[in-house]
Amino acid sequence: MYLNCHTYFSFRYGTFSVEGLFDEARRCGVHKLALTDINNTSGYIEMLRICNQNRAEYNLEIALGIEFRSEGRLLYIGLAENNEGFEELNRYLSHHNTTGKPLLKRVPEFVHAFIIYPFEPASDTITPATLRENEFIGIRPGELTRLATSNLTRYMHKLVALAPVTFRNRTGFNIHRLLRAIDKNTLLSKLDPRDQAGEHEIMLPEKELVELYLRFPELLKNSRRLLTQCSIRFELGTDKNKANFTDSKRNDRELLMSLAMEGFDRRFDRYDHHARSRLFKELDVISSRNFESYFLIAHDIIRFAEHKNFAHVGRGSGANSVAAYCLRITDVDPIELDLYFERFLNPVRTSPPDFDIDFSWKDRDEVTKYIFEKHTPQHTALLGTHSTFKDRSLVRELGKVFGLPKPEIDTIVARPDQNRNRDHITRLIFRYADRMYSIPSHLSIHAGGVLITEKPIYAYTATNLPPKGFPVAHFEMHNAEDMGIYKLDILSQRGLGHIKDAAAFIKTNRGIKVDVNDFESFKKDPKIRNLIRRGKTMGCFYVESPAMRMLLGKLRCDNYITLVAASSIIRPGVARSGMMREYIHRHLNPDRYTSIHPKMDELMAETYGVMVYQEDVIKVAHHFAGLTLSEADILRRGMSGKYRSRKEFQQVKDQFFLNCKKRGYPQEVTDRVWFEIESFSGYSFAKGHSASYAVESYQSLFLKAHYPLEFMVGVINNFGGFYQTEFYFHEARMDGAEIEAPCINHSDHTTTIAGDTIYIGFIHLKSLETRIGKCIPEERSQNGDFKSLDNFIRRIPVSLEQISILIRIGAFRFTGKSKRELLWEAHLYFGKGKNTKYAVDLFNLELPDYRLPPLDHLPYEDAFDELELLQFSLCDPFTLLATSERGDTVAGELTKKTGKKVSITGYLVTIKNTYTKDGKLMHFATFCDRNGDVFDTTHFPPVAKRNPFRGHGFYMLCGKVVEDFGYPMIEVDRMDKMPMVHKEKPNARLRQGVV
Amino acid sequence: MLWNKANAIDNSPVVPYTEQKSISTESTFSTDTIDVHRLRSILIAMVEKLTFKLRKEKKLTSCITVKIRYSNFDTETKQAHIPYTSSDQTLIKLALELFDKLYTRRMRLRLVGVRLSNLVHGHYQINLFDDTEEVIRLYQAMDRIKARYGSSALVRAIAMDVSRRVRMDMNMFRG
Repeated sequence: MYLNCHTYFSFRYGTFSVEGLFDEARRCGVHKLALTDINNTSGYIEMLRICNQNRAEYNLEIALGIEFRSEGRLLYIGLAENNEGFEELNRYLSHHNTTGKPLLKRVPEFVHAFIIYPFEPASDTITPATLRENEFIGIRPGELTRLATSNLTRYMHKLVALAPVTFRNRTGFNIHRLLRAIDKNTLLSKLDPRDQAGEHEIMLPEKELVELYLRFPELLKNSRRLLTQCSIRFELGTDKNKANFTDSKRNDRELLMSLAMEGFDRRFDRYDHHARSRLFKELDVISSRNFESYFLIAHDIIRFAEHKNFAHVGRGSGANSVAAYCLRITDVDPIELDLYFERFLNPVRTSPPDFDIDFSWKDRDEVTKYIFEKHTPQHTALLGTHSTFKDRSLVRELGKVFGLPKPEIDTIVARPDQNRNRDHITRLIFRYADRMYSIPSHLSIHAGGVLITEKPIYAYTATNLPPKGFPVAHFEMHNAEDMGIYKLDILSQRGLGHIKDAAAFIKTNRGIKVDVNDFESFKKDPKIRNLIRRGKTMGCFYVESPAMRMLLGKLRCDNYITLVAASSIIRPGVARSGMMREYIHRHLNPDRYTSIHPKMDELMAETYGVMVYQEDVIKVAHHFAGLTLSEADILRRGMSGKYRSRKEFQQVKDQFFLNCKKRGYPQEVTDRVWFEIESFSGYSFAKGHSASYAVESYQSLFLKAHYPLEFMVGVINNFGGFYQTEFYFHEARMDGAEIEAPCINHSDHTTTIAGDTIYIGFIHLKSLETRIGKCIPEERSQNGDFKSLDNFIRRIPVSLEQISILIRIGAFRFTGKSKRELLWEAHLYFGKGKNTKYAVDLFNLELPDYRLPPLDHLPYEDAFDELELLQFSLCDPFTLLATSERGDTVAGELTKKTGKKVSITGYLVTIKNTYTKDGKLMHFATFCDRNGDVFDTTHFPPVAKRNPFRGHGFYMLCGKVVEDFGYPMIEVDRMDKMPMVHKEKPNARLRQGVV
Repeated sequence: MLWNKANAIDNSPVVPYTEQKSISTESTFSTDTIDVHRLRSILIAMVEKLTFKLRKEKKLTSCITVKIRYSNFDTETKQAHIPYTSSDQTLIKLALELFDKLYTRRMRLRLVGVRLSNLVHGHYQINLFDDTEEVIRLYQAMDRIKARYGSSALVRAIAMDVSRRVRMDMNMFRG
């Protein structure tokens, strides 16, 4: 009889979690209800899952529908008679979502769906007489008195009882109102009653509902009849992905086989029996699970990318597969790296392996577009994800709803514990924040998941069209998995972009065609080894951060295998638990460590008995503790935070300890092993995944080792990266580049290189309009170089303000005139008041050449102009340091000064803030010394408190050099900010000079 | 004397003459509030009080200003020019409209106020379309009662609590 239930997937409206609604239904003795979220189908899979799992507990059947609202006003409610009806409703909603047309006030004809209009419909044309057979008018309990006097009573068979369910009780109603106020961006007290649900939209026991409708029992009868007619059937967990890539399973199998064999010949030696038998084993498993089309779809995407010359990296657990390697989906050899097959596919796992395929951020959208075209938009959708209200954002939103001014909200958010009981408003905020925690707030897009289904996607969900332009499904990752729809991850990253760009620069600048895929020779390249060993990895994909640089230094890493391990142990969980230290220790002293248990050494021989990769969890659970593979998989998933149920996880944990006891391991060994497993919580890498990253790092390293300048320009043009752009330019200068400020006759929109000279692109001039930056190189290529300032102003439509920026950065230095002269000229040209002036000049009249009095040039003027416009100066930063104090050492000498006190002047590169166990702030920082080399510092809490960082610039650092596994760091006891040279006011001087 | 005046000679003392330019009232709350319902009733009470005073002094206004102060002391005002009037219902309606337009930020208020300016002497012109004889007589009767028993003797029901002391309700969910 409840035809209109909302969960919190009616975003910023509903308050019930799925379980909450079910509990309420059980309390009220309801055995069937219709889920109708507002313009949304996010919640139903979760509902079906819980229904199925706890059939006995809830004894509940659900019907599905959608409540259609436009701008907050109820238009009508659609109830699906069956799955086809659901598809119809989804199609209708998706159509309006994706085309942006408003929902119709009167629905088109549905074949398998019922429509319920409200008592006061949105359009006058909706009268009982004009209703179709499957259309009704819903009467809410509050409308019964008005019904008695209306003429609707003549059409009793067209009326149904409509008792919406939105919240549980008064508190629920308040939460609902808060959500509405957040949604409407208004104060709670200013919330329009029309924007919120009626206070009585709560579920009542059947008997009470009957009493409410006592005068019109027929209404209840009608809605009961309607509800019995609605049913929905989904078999959860069965494969609903695109079944065949070609026209039949058989052809799929043959195609996959032939592609795999073809690839095998390319990747392996024909007579490599070990690899061949592994491939056949995999193909067997793939075939028995019907994953052929999944592999073929992935392969097809790769084929497209290769055709378009897009670089890609395949990773994820799929990278543990020889088949994927043969199909070129991935580039790591699972045989060589001895990748664990059971992580890729284990007999108990029903889901296919994930393929995460990375593309350059510039190419990704085109790949996604291809997938949508290839598999038609009818069958394709991006995976959605539900963003939830979390601590800070929630307190912030509630603060606004209760009308607190921003500074007050800031203090509350910064110190929640101290402000919790400050006054009755903060008490209210926190009381409701606790209750609203993790209510979904809106639908957004999963980082890269793409779904391709056998049936049209509308059989499962309606879609929205976010600004990105691809339709997105309403459910999220776990729902999709429960339903049996598996995603392909098409991700974007910046590393591939810089590799591709750098290769292109090398071709144009040096005329050399480099093969970035010649991975075998990279592994042996002494120059690359040298680079890693010295930690000169700035700009290189995944290995450039100070933490990674330090780790590589400590490991004395110079080969691929160690790099693979390093990219996994740098993950926060492993690093924090002390296993990173343990690994370094064992790596440096492979024969002098105490092993936890011989079995552990045997399982992870390559990593000295330390668990490094995600699959090590499975290995240990299966071989060490004797858990079954499916239990081990639950453990692994639990570790990566993908709990399905905490209960299940706990069971496996108990089983783990029980088994260990049975096997007679001492308690402390078991505890230690469990501790290591636990440290994998959060996010850890599968070995294949690490290896894929390491391959990409190697490509970066290769380019950096041999063509450092072109490489750096590639990095700069792809932005992102760990450091600020300044330091990439700095690094290029250290490698011998001549860095030139933007120049109108040499620079492009992005940065370019010619020989050893790097011309900074106009894009780095923050205040220059993008339009002008793009226009300059275009005009230059069409009509030749610019001859003078005058010539430039005539050719490019530009305002005085914009031309001043170009002059001040020195873009006109080729004219040989000083900046001041040029500024005079520009002002002269634009005259008074006229700011923009542009017309094609017929006669090209030269302006009269005025003779200017001599203008003086201030020292450091250029540097300060650069600082202002580019945010960094092009000269050596140390020339801007006011004092001559430089400390008594440089970065290169630190290793020789271990244990000694040193003082050193440093130019701040980056700070990493972290908190000690007792919550005190401390820093790790990286500085640049006067020779341009970097060094690292540690600032323990007392120092961090006494000498805090005070922004960008120079610091004098005093402290002791300590060595950790041979890598030097300065433990700072004292830090002072050092002054920069004084900047004289150019305007004041200018006036003096002229007068 | 006439001659003197004609020659701009006048020894009579200078008596400054000022006429009241506006009447206004405002109220700062003991705690900042967002209770819009309450704020509106305060505004209504204020306008009622001011218009009664206006009529008592036989004046008309052509400009009404609503003022609010946010809890961070940002003060904002909004005003409207209208044909001369001293009618409760016109000014109350206007004051509420102005308030709705003015109060747009999501922040608590610490003060609201109303001010009537551009005052002239005169009597209310009956509006040909809006005013019925009944309404006019009602207001006249109300004014008589107020004149006799004080301006707080007869008020609109919504403003009943307000006229005593502006106390704010603590329940945030009212409204």
